[in-house]
Amino acid sequence: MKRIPTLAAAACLVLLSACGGGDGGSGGADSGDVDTSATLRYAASGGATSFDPHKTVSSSDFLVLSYAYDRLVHVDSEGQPVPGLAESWEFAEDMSTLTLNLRQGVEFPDGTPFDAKAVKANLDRAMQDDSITAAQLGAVDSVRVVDDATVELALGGPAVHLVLSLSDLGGMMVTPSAFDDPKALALAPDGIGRFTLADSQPGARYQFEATENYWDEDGLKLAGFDLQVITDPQTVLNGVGSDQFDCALVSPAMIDPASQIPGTNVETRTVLTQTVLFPNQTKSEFGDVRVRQALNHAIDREAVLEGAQEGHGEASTGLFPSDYFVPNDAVSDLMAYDPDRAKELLAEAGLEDGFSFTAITLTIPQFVTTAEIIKEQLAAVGIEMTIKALPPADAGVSFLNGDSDAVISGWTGRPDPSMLLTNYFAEDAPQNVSHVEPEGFTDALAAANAEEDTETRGELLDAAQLTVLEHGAVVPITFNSVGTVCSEDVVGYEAPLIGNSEFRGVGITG
Amino acid sequence: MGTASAATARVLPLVGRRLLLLIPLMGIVTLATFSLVFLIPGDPAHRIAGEGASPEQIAAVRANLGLDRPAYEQFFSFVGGLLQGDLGTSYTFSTPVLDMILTRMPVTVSLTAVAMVFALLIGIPAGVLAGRRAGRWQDRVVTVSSTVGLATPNFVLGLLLALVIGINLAWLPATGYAPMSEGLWTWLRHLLLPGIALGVVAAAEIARQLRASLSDVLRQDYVRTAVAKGMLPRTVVWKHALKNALMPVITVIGIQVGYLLGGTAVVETVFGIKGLGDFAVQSVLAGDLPAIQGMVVFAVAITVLASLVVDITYGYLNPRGEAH
Repeated sequence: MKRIPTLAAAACLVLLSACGGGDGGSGGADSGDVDTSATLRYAASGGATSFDPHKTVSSSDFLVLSYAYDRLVHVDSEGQPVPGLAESWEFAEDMSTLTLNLRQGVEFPDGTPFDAKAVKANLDRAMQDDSITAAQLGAVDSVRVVDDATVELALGGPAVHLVLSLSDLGGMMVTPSAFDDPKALALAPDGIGRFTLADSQPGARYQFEATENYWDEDGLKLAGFDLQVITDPQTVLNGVGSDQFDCALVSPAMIDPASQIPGTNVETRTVLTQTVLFPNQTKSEFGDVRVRQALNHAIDREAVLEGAQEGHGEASTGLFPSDYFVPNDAVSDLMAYDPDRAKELLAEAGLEDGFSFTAITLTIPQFVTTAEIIKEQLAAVGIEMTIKALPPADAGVSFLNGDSDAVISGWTGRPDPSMLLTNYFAEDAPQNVSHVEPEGFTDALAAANAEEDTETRGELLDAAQLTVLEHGAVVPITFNSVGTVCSEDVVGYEAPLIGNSEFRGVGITG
Repeated sequence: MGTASAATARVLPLVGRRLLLLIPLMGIVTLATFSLVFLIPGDPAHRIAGEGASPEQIAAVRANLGLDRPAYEQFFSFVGGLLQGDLGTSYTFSTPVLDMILTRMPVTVSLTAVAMVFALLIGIPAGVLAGRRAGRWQDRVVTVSSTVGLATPNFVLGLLLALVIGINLAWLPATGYAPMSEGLWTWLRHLLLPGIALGVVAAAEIARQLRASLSDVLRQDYVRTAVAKGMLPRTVVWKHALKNALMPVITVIGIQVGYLLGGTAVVETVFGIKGLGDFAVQSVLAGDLPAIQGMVVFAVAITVLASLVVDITYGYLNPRGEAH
């Protein structure tokens, strides 16, 4: 276990319910027989659209980029912040600044020292208007170099969530000289990270080599990382079963078959990724809050969990899973399965005879099955739902363009809960299709983002989600369970909460 | 030499005519593939910019890709690129589409070649056996087997082969591809199962066509004459009858090249092979228009080329010069 410096430890105490081990800055491989010349072969479901963390257009690139780029802040397997390239951090008492104390003695691949100047250059670029990371760093007004080892972020308001935001794409540190050639940067990573890209077939295979003299010895126990993109779930299992891969991510439906493969271990975990029904409040009958509330009471989430996810995961009782630091105490009643109450609410809205709407969903079996079960359940209270399945690349955009009344899709986990809440419920958020903000939402979220104590902040975030669910702005359905199947030779693996494994500290025994 | 010169004289005008016909054909294909931009629902700029993009970011992507220009300008730019061998840049992977196709082409060519060799090795002997023994039990076995082969979807066969031979028996890899640079056997053993899964339909089709064609040829007068002159039946079949019986089979082989290319989309997915079929599937799922357009143009070019090769072969083999 790596030593956590004083300020970071303080941050852990205030922000974390647990601050140990995991995927963070320290490794987990506990075997003395790790073969440091081994390459881990991993089957993933997607590649990277770009290796430029600030200018990519896909937030899901994080998975592949995390092997090649370290961030200022890392996260442990519980999703809590641990030191990365910033050894520690602290907020000013009035929350006007966040000071980052940087790791010393680290260099970019071209020999440029990692210092405050480089961090400022990266953050300034990550905050440009055309950057996907601009929203993540929206709380930052400006970045100031204090000295070589210290930067100070001037904040526009309370922003406790910023610490975990810096563990995402916006906190990745690119070699500043690489900014001059963004086309080259899009094709090959250039920054501080555990691995460098040795060879790649975009969208198919990425072969990484371990970085020499990497600063976190415990975090790197491999000589290479060979990521192959395999989209078919059965092919993934076939590959693991015939020793073509050492590890692979498996969907809920494949967890049981994966556990039958001899010589492997399967770790499962309920992650932050969730399935939701998200209504457009400007369409169909969804302008009436009682109708939206009725949806939340009409759905038997346990039945969806059994039918669409083989029982793996969790039926939602709020916007966060039950073992997360944000409780769902304030909102669980609003989501209780109560078809009679749903009918009452519809009647109060003048819809005794029900109504109909169209919902887009993804052409992925889990989502199609979920939509079909929801369709049956809504029919029982008199609501007729027509399902329109579209490829994942089109579904969200089509919904945002107003092509349907609702969408049934997956919301991926965000490092900090306020990122999720802001993305979907802030009035001007692009993904808030209705551009209607729940009453009291901004104030509730601001209060949560001004609180450093983890437990208290969790309660304040629960209050923020109460404004969302009282407003019926979303119908949470289930949380996903992600399984990772690995050969028995793989040691040190811990399933992460967010769903993306960085394989930090994972090794292969000889 | 005289025969060869005559054949060349027959074939050259044919090749010239076909190449001329390629110009309007490729023009139509180009226009059709370009139209995909407008036919596929949704806003490509929004799709590329991502769901969370602001209107300004979407507008920036649209301008960056030239999607804000008039359609005719975009079309001429697209055609101009094609004439210079530029198929555009993948929206999804920021990489030239031609590079992605060329990188994956050896994989699919290898797979298709193994599938075709399997199809010929199985299809020709089976077709000859059934044709020579028309109406007997050998014929029935071949006919039933080829019907089963035609009716079995290649993803079902692929999964069965992967599970039984790849995993349960562990004789061959169940997934993946190894380039020839890693050794001929390593290359081949990765391609055997997908090659069989892909080639079985072609084998069945070749066997059926050859059986019908050969049993017909064997009833013709010149064959009876040859037999009456005392030639061994085997010699008659392999030296005389088969050459004529293969004419329609060559057409089938040409058509099967197109089918095999189409089949790689499924087989490559089942076996986790990163060839052109997988590229096509991923491009469609991602709505990556330049990649889809590039693949369509490329696939049409390959199919037309295969058709041309068949015609040329026909021209050489057909003594009556009736190739069209």
